[in-house]
Amino acid sequence: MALDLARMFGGHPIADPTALPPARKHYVLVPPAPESLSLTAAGDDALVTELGDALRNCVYALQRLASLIDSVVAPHVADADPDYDGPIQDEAGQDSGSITIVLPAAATLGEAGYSVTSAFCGGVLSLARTLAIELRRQHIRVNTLMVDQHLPGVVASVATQVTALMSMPGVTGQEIYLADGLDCGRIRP
Amino acid sequence: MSAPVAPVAIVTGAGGAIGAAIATRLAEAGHLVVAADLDQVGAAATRAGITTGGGRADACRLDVGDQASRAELVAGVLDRHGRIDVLVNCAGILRDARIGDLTEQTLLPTLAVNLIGPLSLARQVIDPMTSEGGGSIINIASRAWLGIFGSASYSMTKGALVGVTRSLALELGPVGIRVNAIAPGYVQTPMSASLPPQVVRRSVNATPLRRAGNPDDVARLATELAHPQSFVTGQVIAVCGGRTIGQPGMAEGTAS
Ligand SMILES: NC(=O)c1ccc[n+]([C@@H]2O[C@H](COP(=O)([O-])OP(=O)(O)OC[C@H]3O[C@@H](n4cnc5c(N)ncnc54)[C@H](O)[C@@H]3O)[C@@H](O)[C@H]2O)c1
Repeated sequence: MALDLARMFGGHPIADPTALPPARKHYVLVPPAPESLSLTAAGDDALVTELGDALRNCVYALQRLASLIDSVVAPHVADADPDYDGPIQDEAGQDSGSITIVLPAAATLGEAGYSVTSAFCGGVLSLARTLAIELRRQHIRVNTLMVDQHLPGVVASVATQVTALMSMPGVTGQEIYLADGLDCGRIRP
Repeated sequence: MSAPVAPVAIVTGAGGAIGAAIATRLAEAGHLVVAADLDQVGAAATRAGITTGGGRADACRLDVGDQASRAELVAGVLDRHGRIDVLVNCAGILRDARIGDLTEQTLLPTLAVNLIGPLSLARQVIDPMTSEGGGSIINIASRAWLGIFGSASYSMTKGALVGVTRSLALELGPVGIRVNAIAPGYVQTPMSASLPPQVVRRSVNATPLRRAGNPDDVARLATELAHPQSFVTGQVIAVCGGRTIGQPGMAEGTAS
């Protein structure tokens, strides 16, 4: 299974975050995961370039997207309420925007021969969880889709789900598998 | 070495609080423990504690973020002890930063020490473990893998450890190598000593068992996961006093 979700969904050129489109409220990030890479086949150099650099790129892309939605995010301001655990909407019930991250489902769930890819997916998944918590106070929502690219009608399903998430002001930190049941009956990460 | 064929366990970060407890418990369970740490004094103290208690141990300097140092550790252990049965990836660093504040200064060392190093060591022990008919790799993750305020890169690396744990367990199960992760909640150690007291109080109050974890809580589970007859693999097990089923910790300073 080639992990070309990024190509499928027209991933942003995340290696150059400044090349991202100008401020819009809702973003979809399809970070290019390292291609089906097992730890047994990955030397130390590959771990740094394929995994470490990919995760760093993802951090910077998310930094950029969050700051495009709310410039307060970067650099963070000291007067942001550190104990904020209130709603993720403003008084009008609106969010400031959302980020939807798309990851390959099989590698996220775990698959023999994909350990480095899974490390990447696990890293991004936890990063998304942290961002869902951190960005609440800026009314920014962060959700993650785990997609099986062989799912029948996958492009339409992802589009439908992404569109729905954009108009769901109270929904953040959710992880949705669009994967023909690949996650059913197993412990999800 | 007089007594033959003790299983050999490498514990990284064994000069630290949790690593020392794990090393000590594994030695009690009959392992020859290699205590590896950047902090040579700490590693030597762990070794001394084990040997005065009648256990078998060796101490090594390791910079887990450094390729040559990792290779040297594995080669040295195979050279001196002939086998590797258990790897505990416990060395780790906690550099707090919210997403907006993350820079290379935080990201690079966090990735190197918490992720690249542990994965590289895991790769390097696969062959030796396979020749012994199996083994146990234990990655010390953190509650932070579920998301935590203010530690974006830390939680990312711990989540990546969980990810690799699952796929490696699927891949290596057939050759008898088990791979698991432990996700401790707040544990009283030098690493967490930097947290302000009100943060600690808040954390304990949000813990159903109403206490902080101690290093031995983690060590007892690690010893079970290291047991050659264990039927557990691919799991991430929380040692958190129930913290992770309760309050989500949306606020700053609920870290660790
Ligand atoms: N203390 C907690 O509350 C807590 C909670 C969850 C997870 N953890 C994890 O448990 C593990 C151990 O933490 P601890 O609380 O015992 O911390 P600690 O600081 O007491 O121990 C960490 C050890 O790692 C060593 N180390 C750091 N960088 C290294 C490097 N480059 N090479 C080799 N060794 C290096 C340090 O010298 C230290 O001895 C870490 O992976 C940490 O992330 C701790």
